[in-house]
Order: sequence, then C-alpha cells, then structure tokens
Amino acid sequence: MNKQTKFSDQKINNFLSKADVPLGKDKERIWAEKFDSFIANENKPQPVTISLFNLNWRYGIAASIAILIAVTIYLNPLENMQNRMAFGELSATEEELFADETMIESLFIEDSEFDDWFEERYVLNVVN
Amino acid sequence: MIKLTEEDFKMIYNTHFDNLRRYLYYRSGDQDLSEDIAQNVFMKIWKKKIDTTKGNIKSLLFKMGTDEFISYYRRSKIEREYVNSQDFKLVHQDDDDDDFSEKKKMYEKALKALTDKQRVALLMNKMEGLTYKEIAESLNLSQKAIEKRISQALSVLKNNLNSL
Repeated sequence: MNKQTKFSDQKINNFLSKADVPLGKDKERIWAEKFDSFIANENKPQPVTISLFNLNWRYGIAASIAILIAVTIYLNPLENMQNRMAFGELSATEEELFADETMIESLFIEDSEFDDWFEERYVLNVVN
Repeated sequence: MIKLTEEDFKMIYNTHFDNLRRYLYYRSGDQDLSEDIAQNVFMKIWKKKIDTTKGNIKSLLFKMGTDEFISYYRRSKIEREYVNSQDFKLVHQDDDDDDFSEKKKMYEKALKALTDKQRVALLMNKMEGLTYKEIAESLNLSQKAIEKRISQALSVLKNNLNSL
C-alpha cells in the first residue's frame, strides 16, 4: 500500500471529528472553586478605612490650631497692657518707675557700689 | 455603558469558558496553563466590568487569551523551548480500543509538528466543527487567511502522518 494513501483527508477528518483535547477540571467545578468566592468578595461593600498617615495629619493640624489659640490667648493680656501703657492709659508713678529701675540695675552691681550709688542718686534727687 | 451583571457574566462563562480553554490548549498543548489563562481572562472581564454587549465577545476573549499567552512566554523567555517540550495529547471516542493507541500517538506527534497557528485553525475546524467564517470572527482574521491556514495544516499533517 502506498504510504501517501495511508492517511487520506477523509480518514483525518473522521479521526479529528471524534477527538477532543483534555480539559481537566469541569468548568462548573472551576466556577465553584474560584469564581463564586471571587464574585462574592468583589460584591461585598468595602469598609472605609482611615489610614494611619491621614489620622496623624488630622491630629497634627488640630494640635497646631490648639497651640496657636493657646499662645494667642496667653500673650494677649500682656500685649494689651503694653499697648495701654504706650497710650498712657496705665501711668506708673515716678517712684514706682525709679524703684523698678533701681531693682533691676541692682542685680548687676556689688552691694557696696550700690550703697554709694544710691546715696549719691538719692541726695541728688532730693537736692534737685 | 451597561454594567456587567453577575447573571450576564455567568452566561458568558458557561458559553465560552471551554472554547477559550480549548483554543489555548491548541496553542500551548499545556492543560494547566490553558486553564490558568482562561481563568485570568474571565477574572479580568469581571474586575474591569467590560461591556460585553458591544462587539464580538468570543473574539474579545480569544484576543485577551492570546495576549496573556504571549506575555506569559515573553516574561519567561523560554517560549520556543517550552512549547517544543510539551506533548500534545488528545482524547478520543475510540480510546478503549487497544489497537487505537498507536494511531492516536501518531496523530498527536503529527499535530505537535504543526505551527500553533496552523494547529489552532485546523482543530477549531475539524474538532469543534466551526466554519471558516466562525473561526475568522473568533480570531479576528479574514476567512481567506483561515482557509489558507487550514489547507496548509492539512497538507503538512498528512505529510507528517505518512512519513511517520
């Protein structure tokens, strides 16, 4: 028998029409194993999560604002007082100012020096 | 745009999953890989909620499957060696016949020697009974191209079988 006639078109067609490829698992099984849970997970509403980074930023901004407010409140009375003094609303007496000045200056000098200086200053004040 | 519902997705899966797996097996000769790629393609369809009402869904699935298949082998850079190393296996209605196994092996060997494009076109036509037009639509090619591929495949297959 001639080799070329061994496998004719007809024979090949007959063979291939009855053949298939091995597909392995049944598609329903694959659906049950993979897609059922996959679709269920996809359909589940995603919980809203606040990341730690965002949370820190929020706290940071809130803390900064709180600090600014606190500093403003703390500094405001002093500023007011200085302003009022500048406009003459608060007038310190001459003696008070002299006492303050003397007290501050006295911190930087020796006691004996202070005594000499005080007597001289006091006498001059009285004479003048 | 129409949103893909679970029912539509299940229907598409039932209609096309095995066709896609077969097509990928014709190309690769690897059962597990075909299954994995087919699953990936369907997962992408669901995740991206691709509008399946427009165009030919089978063609889209085959295109996505082909792209995944190619990128898989490009990544591994062993396409030629890997495909060549795979045995192309068939199942047949006459498998119970002891004398048949030798004949089947000859077919498997001869089919493996075809190019994957020739094998795809030939087996879609002969095994699945698809017309040239249907194959052309699925693979997004012209009918002429499919006709040519099948004719060449049949000629090469016959030569391979007769020379074994």
